[in-house]
Amino acid sequence: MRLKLYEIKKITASPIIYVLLIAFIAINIKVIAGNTYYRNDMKVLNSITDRFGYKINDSMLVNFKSYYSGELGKMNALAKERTSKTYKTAYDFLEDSDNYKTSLYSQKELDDIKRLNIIENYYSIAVGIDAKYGKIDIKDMGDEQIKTYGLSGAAAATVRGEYESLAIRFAQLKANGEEKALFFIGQIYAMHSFLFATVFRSMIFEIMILSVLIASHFANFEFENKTQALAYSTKRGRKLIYDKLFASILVCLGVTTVLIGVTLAVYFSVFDYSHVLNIPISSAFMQEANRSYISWWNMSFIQYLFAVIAIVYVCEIIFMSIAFCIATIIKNNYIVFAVFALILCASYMLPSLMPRNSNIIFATSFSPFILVLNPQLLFMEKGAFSTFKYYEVITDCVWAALMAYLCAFCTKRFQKSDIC
Amino acid sequence: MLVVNNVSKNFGKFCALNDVTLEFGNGVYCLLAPNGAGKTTLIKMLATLIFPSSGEICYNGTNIVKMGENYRDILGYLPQEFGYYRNNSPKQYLLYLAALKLIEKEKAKKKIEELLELVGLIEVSDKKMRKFSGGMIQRVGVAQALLNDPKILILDEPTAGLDPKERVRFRNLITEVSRDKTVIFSTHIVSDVESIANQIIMIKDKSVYYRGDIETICKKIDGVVYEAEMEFDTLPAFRQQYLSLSEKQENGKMRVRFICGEAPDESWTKVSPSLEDAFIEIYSDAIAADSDLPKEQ
Repeated sequence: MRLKLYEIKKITASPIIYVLLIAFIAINIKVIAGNTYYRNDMKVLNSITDRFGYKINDSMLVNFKSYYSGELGKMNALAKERTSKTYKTAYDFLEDSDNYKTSLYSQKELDDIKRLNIIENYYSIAVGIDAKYGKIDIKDMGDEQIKTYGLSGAAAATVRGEYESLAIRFAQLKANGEEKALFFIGQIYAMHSFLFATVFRSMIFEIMILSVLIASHFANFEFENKTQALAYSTKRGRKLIYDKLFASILVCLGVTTVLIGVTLAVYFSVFDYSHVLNIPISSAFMQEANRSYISWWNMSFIQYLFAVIAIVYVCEIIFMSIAFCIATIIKNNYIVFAVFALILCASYMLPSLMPRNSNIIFATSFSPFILVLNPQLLFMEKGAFSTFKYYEVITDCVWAALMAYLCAFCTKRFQKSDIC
Repeated sequence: MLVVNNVSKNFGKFCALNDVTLEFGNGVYCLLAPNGAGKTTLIKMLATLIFPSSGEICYNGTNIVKMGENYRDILGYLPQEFGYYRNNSPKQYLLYLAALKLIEKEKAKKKIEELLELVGLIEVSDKKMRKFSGGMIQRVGVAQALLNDPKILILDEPTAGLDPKERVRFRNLITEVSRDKTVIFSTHIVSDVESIANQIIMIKDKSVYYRGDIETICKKIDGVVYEAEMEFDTLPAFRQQYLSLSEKQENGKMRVRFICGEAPDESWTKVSPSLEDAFIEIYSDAIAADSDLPKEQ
């Protein structure tokens, strides 16, 4: 244990890791801070869920409508009094520029009407869910994917098969009423893609950079400091490489925890998710642009968040292991980084080089590098090449096993290699 | 007994050592050869940093690679390039190396105090090593090599870069600690060898050229080493004819020490050969090949 602690302490000899960690956290906080202009609008959802709960059903809609109609009536009463006008919706009121003339309405009255507009948006989406989700044809989505990517033969058959499975899941989703749950309106706030696509993706690549630096720092520390002849001729000798691997894993986990912990702490202190933690991740309200989020699993938001975090942890350990294996062969940290970058690029290019009629194209997509490209689509429908129920689990498990074997192979090889 | 059995080492197509056979018992052995002869290659194989391409090295009959940590437990090694952590004090660094040598912490602390006292660094034991001179760093190196009370102490060019005072200190240290140990050190500084080595091993053309005591190797050129005084302008022609061992200006003339196998001139004085004379004579072809001096007509 003493040796492992000594190894871990060697991270203090690499200030670049601390500097980058702090810089990355600062960047993430800036990105979050740059999107706070609508956080007050988002709080309106909390008042709705407090009043009606988050589950949308017939009785909830009746109550919601009654409430909304009452508020709309109050707005029209005020408008009639001030301007002798009435409006169909709060949106129409806000679109009328005459209402912004000085001292016609107080700021509080305007804010209340803006708030009503937000409630209106939630109501209109809530009542339209059945119609919207009734139009979604999962099998058509699969066919569209096959056409878009020019798939044929076995590849097309696989995609059709997966989308048929997804269709069964979708039917189950609707039967469970998972889509009928209030969440921050995706079309306006895009919170799902902001958190997972923007914030999480940044964190994933930031941690990837740090993991590679950490792995090569530990593996090549003795060579960088010219202490290899001394360190590897002691009683512990070449077995020191196992202590280095242990230290790499531990420091990588630590850095991942700090980066994700601080970033998410800031994120959730800025955006209040306390009322939506238990809503299903397949909520129709999450829909952004023309994309609905259809998950393979019935997960709540908080469960989904933890699942994504778990995937990130496993993927970062995989990336660190790849860098560690490279570093046992290449004794220069810059070249290790370059080789890792080449592997990253190659893994992105590989699927496009595969024949479009063969299932091998899917095998090349089961890569942690591709897995982390779209964290907002983890455990969900995500196109022809990765829409498999167990895609994330298979990718992580296979690659974790592969890297465990490769690390064992490389460390064993290190025991027999010349140290010059 | 440490035995090197028909060991060869190749780096790709380059042969660094060819069919070396040696035995090391207790005592001080010196590997004496010019740079690039293969001393460090042999030493690294003894320290298990590199592995022989053929042959094996055994300690008490067992292959040292197979012995693994049992062999490295009795090994103390000071590499040619002694690396250290600049922001560590000698105490901190030696504690870390003690951990690598799997010495218990309390035992290590006591031993480190003793060793720092022995090498004369006790006053600066908590000072950062980036402030140390080359000699002080080398002393830390010797201290770490002795941490585990090794039975085999291997020192690769331990006096390189040290001033004469430090070299004397080092030699005295080695003499003190070498009792009941096998001490193997490599050098190309002949004066280090004469002071402390019981046996010298000379490597030439990738093999062992000579193994024995200093007296015997000197006797090989007994009777052919002379000294003579001559004018400066006759020196170039003289060098063309005879192997010059050393040259010194004296009384307005050049006093030359040289080897001559033919009948001597009357003005020449026969002198007793030193180890340095033998070294230059044995490696004269290598020295000539490396010489930067232009050939004079």
